[in-house]
Amino acid sequence: MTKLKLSGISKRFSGRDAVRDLSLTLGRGEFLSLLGPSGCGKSTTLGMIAGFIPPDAGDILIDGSRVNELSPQQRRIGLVLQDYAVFTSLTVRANLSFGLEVKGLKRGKRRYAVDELARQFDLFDLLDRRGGSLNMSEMQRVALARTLATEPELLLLDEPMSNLDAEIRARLRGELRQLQKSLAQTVLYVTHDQAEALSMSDRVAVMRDGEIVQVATPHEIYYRPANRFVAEFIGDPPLNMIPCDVTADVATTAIALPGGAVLHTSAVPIASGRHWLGVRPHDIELVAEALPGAVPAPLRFVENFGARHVLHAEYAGDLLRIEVVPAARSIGEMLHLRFSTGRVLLIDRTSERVVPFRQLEVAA
Amino acid sequence: MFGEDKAWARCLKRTAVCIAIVIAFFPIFWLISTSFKPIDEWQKFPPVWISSQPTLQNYRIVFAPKAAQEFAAKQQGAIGYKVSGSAWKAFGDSAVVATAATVLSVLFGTLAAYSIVRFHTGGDSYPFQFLMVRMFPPIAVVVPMVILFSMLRLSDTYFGLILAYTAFTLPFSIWMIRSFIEEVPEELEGAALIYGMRPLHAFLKVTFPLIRGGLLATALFVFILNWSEFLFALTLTTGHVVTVTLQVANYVSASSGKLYGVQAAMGTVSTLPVIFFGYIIQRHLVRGLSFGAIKR
Amino acid sequence: MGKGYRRLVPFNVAIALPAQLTVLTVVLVPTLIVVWLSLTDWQPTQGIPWYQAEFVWFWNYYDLFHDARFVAAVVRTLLVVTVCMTVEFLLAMGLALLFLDDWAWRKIAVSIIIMPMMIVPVDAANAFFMLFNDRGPINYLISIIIGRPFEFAWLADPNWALLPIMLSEIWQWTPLMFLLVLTGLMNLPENQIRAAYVLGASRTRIFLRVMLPLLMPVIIIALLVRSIETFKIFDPVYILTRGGPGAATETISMFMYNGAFVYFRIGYIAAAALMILIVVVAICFTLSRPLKRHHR
Repeated sequence: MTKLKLSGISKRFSGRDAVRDLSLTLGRGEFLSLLGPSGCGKSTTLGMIAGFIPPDAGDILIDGSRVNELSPQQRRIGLVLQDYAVFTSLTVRANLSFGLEVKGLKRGKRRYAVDELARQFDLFDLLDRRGGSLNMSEMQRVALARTLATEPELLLLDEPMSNLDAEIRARLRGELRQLQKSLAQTVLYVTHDQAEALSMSDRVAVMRDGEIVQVATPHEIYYRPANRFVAEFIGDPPLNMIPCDVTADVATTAIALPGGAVLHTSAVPIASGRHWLGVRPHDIELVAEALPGAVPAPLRFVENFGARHVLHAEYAGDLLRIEVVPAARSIGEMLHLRFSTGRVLLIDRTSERVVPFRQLEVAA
Repeated sequence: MFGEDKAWARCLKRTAVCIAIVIAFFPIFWLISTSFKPIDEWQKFPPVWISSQPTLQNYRIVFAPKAAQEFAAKQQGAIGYKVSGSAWKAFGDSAVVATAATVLSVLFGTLAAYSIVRFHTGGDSYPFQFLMVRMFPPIAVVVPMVILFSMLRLSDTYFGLILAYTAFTLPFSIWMIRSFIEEVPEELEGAALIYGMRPLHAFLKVTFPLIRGGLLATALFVFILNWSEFLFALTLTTGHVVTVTLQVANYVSASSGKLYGVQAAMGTVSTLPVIFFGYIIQRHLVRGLSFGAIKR
Repeated sequence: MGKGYRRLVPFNVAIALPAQLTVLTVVLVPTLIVVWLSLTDWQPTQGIPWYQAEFVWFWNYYDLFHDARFVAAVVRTLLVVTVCMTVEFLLAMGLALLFLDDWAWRKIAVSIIIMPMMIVPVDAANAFFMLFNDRGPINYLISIIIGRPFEFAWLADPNWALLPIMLSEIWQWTPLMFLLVLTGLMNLPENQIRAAYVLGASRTRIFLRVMLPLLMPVIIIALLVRSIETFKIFDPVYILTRGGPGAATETISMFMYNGAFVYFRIGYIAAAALMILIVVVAICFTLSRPLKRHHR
């Protein structure tokens, strides 16, 4: 059942296309993230769904009916923006019961509902505090609780975690996702943080320059990105881009890596020439010495993240990032790297699309 | 913000605003209009909205003593009044007193505000001490001030009035300038201090240029207050110093208020500087009248 | 910042001195004189200098409390303050809401509406004096509305003379309240209003439950500042009625002026002045503590 459907939405701001012919569907109870760098149009899209920005073209349908003409109030949506907008001169209790008052709920029922919310969001101690006296993470909980109190058809969140400290964010991601699942609330989540998007969503829609580049599950987005942009945007530490020479034949394709290793696969739609090979840092294996398919790369420096190390080794004129288990290493030592052939990405240099292939083998 | 208003709501709003504008402007319009009316139109009923024979006679009476005397001689039987001198003296006196008091008020106020903001002089309650001055009903202070001034031989002197005006506008000066100084981060002066500059120098070279606009606004604001002041002028002078407000009151009391045209002329001219300066500092009015508490 | 010699007075205190001294001279010393005088029954007509006046100790206060005219003046002033503040506030709030959204002539409209507060108060009173003349425009308009001639002598009627005075005050200062409230409204956090809107609240609910609580600080400051100034009201009273007919429009300031400068009962009025001063200072202190905390 489709909760939200965007058909060919577009919006222009002072000569610039903020959103271009965008289409998207959101199912009931689904958690979908709109992910992209600043300025890609995700907040504008949210604004149009919410009803604050009228689209220049296209239709917005909620539960099957066209809502373009409806005001934000009439669309029965919930909205939590980056600054939370907690009512600073009202108590937390008054904040929570605000939407319920609007609906006309009687005092007794309201009190009960507010207490329920306080329980769910761990706000009991704060109920009588003034909105303006809360810290950021408390405000966020109040803002969420206040919005969910009205049981909106669609919950829109715009970067709700960006004002919070890192440790809180990590914990909150899980809690938010659990809450969403238990309520079966349909959520559209706008963010620029790919870790958030990947960890919380049922599906992720990656946006760039006003267009949706790819919509897929987090797994798909990560392991089968549609193009270079998605591949590089997703993943921490970021993807390694290795220049390679492709020789495309009728039946086979040979990919020659700098340093000598050559990989083979069946015919794929790519022209001969220089292209890219994308390798994730954790798909690079350290081997003892020069095995077939291994390339040498001297270690330049180590990023120590405690539970893992990210080694930066010099290869093909650039620094390769390799994620490994912590161990003692010395700067300058020569590493031998082997790429996990099942998971590398062949990226066409001209179209920048990821070219899928069947199986990759190392040439002897 | 809430979406478009319905047509009738918009119409109602516009009407309300129009009514407000008319009410705001009407008394002023009446004042100006009356100032150009010849004497036979002063008391006409139904009232004359705009004169059909506008004249400058009222202004002549106000400014030229000769015209005033001629007028007095002519009307002796009809009204019977006494006109007190030319308005030039009143404008001159007001200009002198208001300007001097403004200069002193802004000067002392800047120094005090600077001391309060950067050095926290006198603690938290010190600025409120000046605020209290403004709370005093002037009438309560005027009575002993008359006595004090006569002892100090300041009665009916320019200096005495200037002193009184300075004291009573200091709260505005200090609070307004204080809010302007607070907007300039202390670090800017700090940087100058590191280079060995003395604090006052640092203030003059760094902060002062940045608050110049605010100081000007404060000065004009205080000038308006001084120019419009009435009670002190009434009680602390006995005829040697005459401000415009006094002159207006003199016309009213000398004739039981019957000299409509002349009163209106004096009123119109005396209020012109205030309107003029008021519009110049329009942006800063809110800050001044709320003692710096409310800013745009 | 050494100059090499020991300083008698710290720098920051020194520069605050001019302001401080001015205030001390003009405010503190007169207050001390008032305290002294309030315990005497000095009248200049007695021919003796004020410091040799006969002491009556607290009898002045006793007389004051039993002086129907004084009590009436106090009550009347409180009435004026209450009425003026309420009307000014309601009008100002209503007007300000009309100016919330941006529309074509907004800036010009605001400029015209704030004109009254940029008129010299004495001139405004003068204008109202002429407007409320028994054959003036106000009466004319009323006679048109009710369909028969209306020549009421407002300023000569003990029951109604207070109205033109209050109207003059309201006319002149509502624009100020309007400006303060408008500034407050425009500084409101838009995101909270938008959030309330999305939650489904009607405009009325948003105004009452979200905007008004956020406006409270501005409203309180505006009411406070204006209440104090209205309490001191003098110029309109003097120009329009001098407190008459009889003592029908005597406010506290007018009462003290008449008592001191018409009846010359300086000692008695000093006691009144001191009482008012104490009350004002007391109010100041009780209010300054929450205000100080808010300012921090």
